Amino acid sequence: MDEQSSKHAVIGREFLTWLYYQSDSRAGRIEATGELFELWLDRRVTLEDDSLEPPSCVSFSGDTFTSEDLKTAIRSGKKIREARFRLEKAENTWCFSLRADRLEVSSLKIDLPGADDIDERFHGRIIAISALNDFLDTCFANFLDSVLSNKWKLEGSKKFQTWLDASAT
Amino acid sequence: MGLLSGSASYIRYRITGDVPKAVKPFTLEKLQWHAFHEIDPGTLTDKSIGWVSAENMSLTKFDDMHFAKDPYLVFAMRVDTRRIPPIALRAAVLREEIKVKEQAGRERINKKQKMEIREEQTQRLLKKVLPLPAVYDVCWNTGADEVLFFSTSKKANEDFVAFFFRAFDLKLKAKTPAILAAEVRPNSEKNIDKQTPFMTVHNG
Repeated sequence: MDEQSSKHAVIGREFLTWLYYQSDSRAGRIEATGELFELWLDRRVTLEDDSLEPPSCVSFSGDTFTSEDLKTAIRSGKKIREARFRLEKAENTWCFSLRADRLEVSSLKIDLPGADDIDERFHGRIIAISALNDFLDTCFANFLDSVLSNKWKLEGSKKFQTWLDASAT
Repeated sequence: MGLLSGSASYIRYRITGDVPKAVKPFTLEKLQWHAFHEIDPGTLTDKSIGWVSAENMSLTKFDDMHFAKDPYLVFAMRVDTRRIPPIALRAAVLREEIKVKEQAGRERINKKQKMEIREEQTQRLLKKVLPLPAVYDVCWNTGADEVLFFSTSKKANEDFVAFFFRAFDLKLKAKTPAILAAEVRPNSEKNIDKQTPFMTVHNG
C-alpha cells in the first residue's frame, strides 16, 4: 500500500470504528442531516491491524459474534476495515457494506416497491442512494468534528475507552 | 448494473475541471462521439470500450435526450473484451510446434520460431473468440459535479476514469476518506495528519 492509500485507509478505518462505537453506545440511534436514523452492524465485519507485518485480521459473520468480540478485537489494536450495516429511518431501510479504505458502498439493497416505469424506478432509487450518501457524508463530518476537537482529547477519548472496557468487566 | 435494478455497488467521484454550462448538449455530443462499437470479428482487436444507454446495453446511438433525468445524466460504460482461454492457446501452440518439428525433421525448434508460432496461434484464435461484454452504470449529478460509477472493481474504475477523461476532457477524483475530509471539512488535513490515530486504545 503506498503512502497516500495508507493515509486514506487509516482515516477510513478510524471512521468505521467510530461509527460502530456511536451505534453501539447509543443503542443504534444516530442523528444526521437533522434526522434520527437507526444504524446497526448487519452480520458481517472485518477488523485489521495493519501496523503488524503481515497485518493481523479477524472476520466475524452470521449471528454468532457479539459486541464483546468486536471490543476485544479493537482492544488488541484492530480497526474496522469493512462492515455490513443496516440503516433505518421511518419506513426506509438500507442494507449495505462499507469498505473503509476507499469508502466504497457495495451490495446495497434498497427496500423499494418495484416500478414498471423506468424513470419512476430511477428516481426512487437515486433518491434512496443520495440519502445514504448524505447520511455517510454527515456522519463523516461529525466524526472529524468530534475527533479533531479539544473535547475529544479531554473527554471523548476517555469515554471511548470506558465504552471499550465496559463489557470486559 | 445496480442503478436501475438489483443490489448496487458504487464509487463516488468528484469532477475536477470546468464543466460547460450547457452540459446536456455537451454530454450528448460526447456520448455520440464515444459511443460503443462492437468488435469486428475479422479483426485482432481484443477490447472495445464506449458509452451505451443505461436502459439497454445494445442501444449505442444517442439520438435523443433519454439519458437526461434532471439533474442527473444517466448512461453506461460498456467494455467488450476478447480473451483466449490460456489452456486453449497452449494446446494450439504445442500442436503447431509438433507439426513444425515433424516438417523440419528436428527434435527442437529455436526461441524465435516458438515466438512466431505463439503469435500466429494468438491471432488465429482471437478471431474465433466471442467478445465478453461488461456494462457499468454511470450517474452524473450535474447539480453537484458528482459522478457515481456502479462498480467497485479496480480495473473497471481505472478504465472508467481514463475513458471519462478521454470522452469529456474532465478529470475525476475518487471520494476516498482523505478527499472527502478535504471536502466536508476544508483545511482539516494538517490536523488529521498530526492527530491520527484518534481512536487510541489503552490496555491494562
